[in-house]
Amino acid sequence: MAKFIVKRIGYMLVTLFIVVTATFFLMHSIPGDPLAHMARNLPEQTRENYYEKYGLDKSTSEQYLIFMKNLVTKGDLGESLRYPGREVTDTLLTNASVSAQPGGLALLAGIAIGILLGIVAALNKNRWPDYIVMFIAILGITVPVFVLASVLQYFLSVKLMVLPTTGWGSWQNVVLPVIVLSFGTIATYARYVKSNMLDVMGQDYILTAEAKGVSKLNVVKKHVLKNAFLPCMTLLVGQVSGIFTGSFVVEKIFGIPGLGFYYINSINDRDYTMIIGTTVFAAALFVFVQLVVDIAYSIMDPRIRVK
Amino acid sequence: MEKILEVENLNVSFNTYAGEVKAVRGVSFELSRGETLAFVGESGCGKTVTAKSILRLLKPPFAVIKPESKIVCNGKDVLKMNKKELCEFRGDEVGMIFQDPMTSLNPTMTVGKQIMESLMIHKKLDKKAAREEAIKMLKLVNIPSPEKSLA
Amino acid sequence: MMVNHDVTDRMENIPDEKFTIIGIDKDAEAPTRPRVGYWRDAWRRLKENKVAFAALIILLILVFFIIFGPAISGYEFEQIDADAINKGPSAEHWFGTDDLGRDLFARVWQAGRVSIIIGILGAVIASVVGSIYGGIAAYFGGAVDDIMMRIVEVLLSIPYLIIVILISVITDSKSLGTMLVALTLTGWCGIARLVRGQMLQLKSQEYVLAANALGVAPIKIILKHMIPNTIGMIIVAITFDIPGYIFSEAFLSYVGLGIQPPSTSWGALASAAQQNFMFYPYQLMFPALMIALTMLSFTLLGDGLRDALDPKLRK
Repeated sequence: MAKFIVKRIGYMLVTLFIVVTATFFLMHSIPGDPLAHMARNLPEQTRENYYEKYGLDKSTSEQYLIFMKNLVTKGDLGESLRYPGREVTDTLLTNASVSAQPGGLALLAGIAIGILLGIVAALNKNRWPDYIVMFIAILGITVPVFVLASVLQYFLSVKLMVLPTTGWGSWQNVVLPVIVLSFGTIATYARYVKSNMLDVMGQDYILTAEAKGVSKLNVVKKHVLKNAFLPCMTLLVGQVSGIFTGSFVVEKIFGIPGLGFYYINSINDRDYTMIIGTTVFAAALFVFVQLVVDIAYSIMDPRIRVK
Repeated sequence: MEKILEVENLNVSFNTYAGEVKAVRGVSFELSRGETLAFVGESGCGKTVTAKSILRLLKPPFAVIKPESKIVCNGKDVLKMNKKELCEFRGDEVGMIFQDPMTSLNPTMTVGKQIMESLMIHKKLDKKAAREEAIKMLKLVNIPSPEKSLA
Repeated sequence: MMVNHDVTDRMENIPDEKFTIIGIDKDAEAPTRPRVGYWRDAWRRLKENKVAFAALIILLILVFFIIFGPAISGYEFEQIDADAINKGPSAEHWFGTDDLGRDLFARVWQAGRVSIIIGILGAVIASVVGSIYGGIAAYFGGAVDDIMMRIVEVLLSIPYLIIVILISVITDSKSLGTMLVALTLTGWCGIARLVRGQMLQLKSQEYVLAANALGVAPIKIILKHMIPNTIGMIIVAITFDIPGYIFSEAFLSYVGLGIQPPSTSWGALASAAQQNFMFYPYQLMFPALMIALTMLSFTLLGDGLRDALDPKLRK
């Protein structure tokens, strides 16, 4: 068991290393001067100072080593190229904590509601609760995030004026983003849970349990649920990814100063240090979630551990 | 001799897209206390379907036990039992062991727990007593260190 | 009263008088159904699935419009008309016009070409590459398989969106080709895993063992047993992937990293319409509707295909 965890952590570190390195070298391979927009009108000496400050006067490999050293020992991702003085790491943490609010809530709500709906659908197969749930699920999967966000914003903020259109600060700002972001997760989990439950209910061992005289309620509680939920863990990674990308759009539409919002800005600004920083951060997040899922899965399903 | 199982004119059909498939047609037999009755036949001749019918494990609307059938076990009309009676009946008065052991047991639950499940439902044992009984059963069939496997 | 049977009784020792032949019912119909081939049966099952079949029809209709739509409308998708700016749907402009007076009906279908092509091409390329990769890994097994799968695992941990964005930024080109490369770069990993898993499972199936025992050559086993059983799964995977690629393209265009004017895609149309959504909602509605409809249809079709092609569900 411990061996398994160590192995997984090893993979995680290798992956992160590859991503960080690749991102770094790729970014530095972009032709042109990263400081061009700023350095244009500055006197020669100031220009040189800036270059020195960002270490751009050194070779790429040297820069890489300095970068890695700072990253690993201090967690320092350097300074923003666009806004000198702004520490990348600090900015990232601030932005991330903003994004995490609607994001985290959406994830939790999505999973909880999704699982619930999935169970309802499976137990009422081909009757109206099933159809309603499936309809909601279809909506969640096919309606693009930006459409959903726009539509909800239009009806709830503009027409009905129940919630604010944009901005950040109070709990009302969180409501619409959470609804929009959780839709996809609800839909995915509902479909998956329903499908898994139906699969499990068709298994031989369910028949055995019935033959032993276990009541339908207990069959579901003790045999079906556990086996149906287990695979749902693997969905987690995809959902985190989905909510992450969804937040790009949602933050833009609702004016939330989060990671996604600033990531897009830094891309358009060509703020390379920010781009590298955000990428590394996002990659670390995903890899970590994957690690947690892997470990949790192996704890819950005794079959995996034996491998 | 006391008759413990009487099956008369058992007719079981499956509703498939190609029409009605009559899997069991007019099977009748009796079983008395102390007797062993063996069904022998080629694959697909309806042995398992007959057995499942006794416990009413076949699922409508796909599978249907026709109304002219009669199954009486220990004096009780199986086909007229409600859900509660069926649950008490299954596993207690009639037990069924399925063909494929690899799939017939819940893979994420220990065998011991699954034995305990039956005991707690029918013999109304509490968890501790059920556990001891289950360990005894496992020992009977020579499963090594049953206390550990039960974990 | 207990009836005693000596448990050492053997079959031969049971006297004949204990058996009574009751005869065979020769008039009974055999409880079987007509024999149908795998693909024919799958097609029949798909047709029966009304939802999936409806999805298929919808897709065909969409494709029809995508091909002939711009021609039907009578306008060029780039045609600017300063007098007809931001007009709602009418008899002249069935979907209305945008802020440059361009007919939206023509634009939506023109955009559809790009979106669908990216969707299908992306999914197919990723699937082909993934299938070959997975097949090779499964065929050789052992160390080769191990290494290949480690690579896939690492690649899979990298959020694909990051890669897509990175590539778009780095190459600074927003052409169709770049997008395809970016999207498929890690897209093939999922299919590789699926195919490899399926092939490994097939390798140990009893009918493969049986074929081996009967002396069938390995290449024939692969062609006749393993591939046909995997193709179904690959087809389903492609069908499910397509909406993903369409959405990714729409998303990228939406954040400004995708198709640039004057070419257009559904995502680009939606992005442009975003600012005016409050005033001219139809500009966003139509492309969004098309995206949703396409994704929905492919998903439902995929569901239906999966059920139809699963041999275990043959009733």
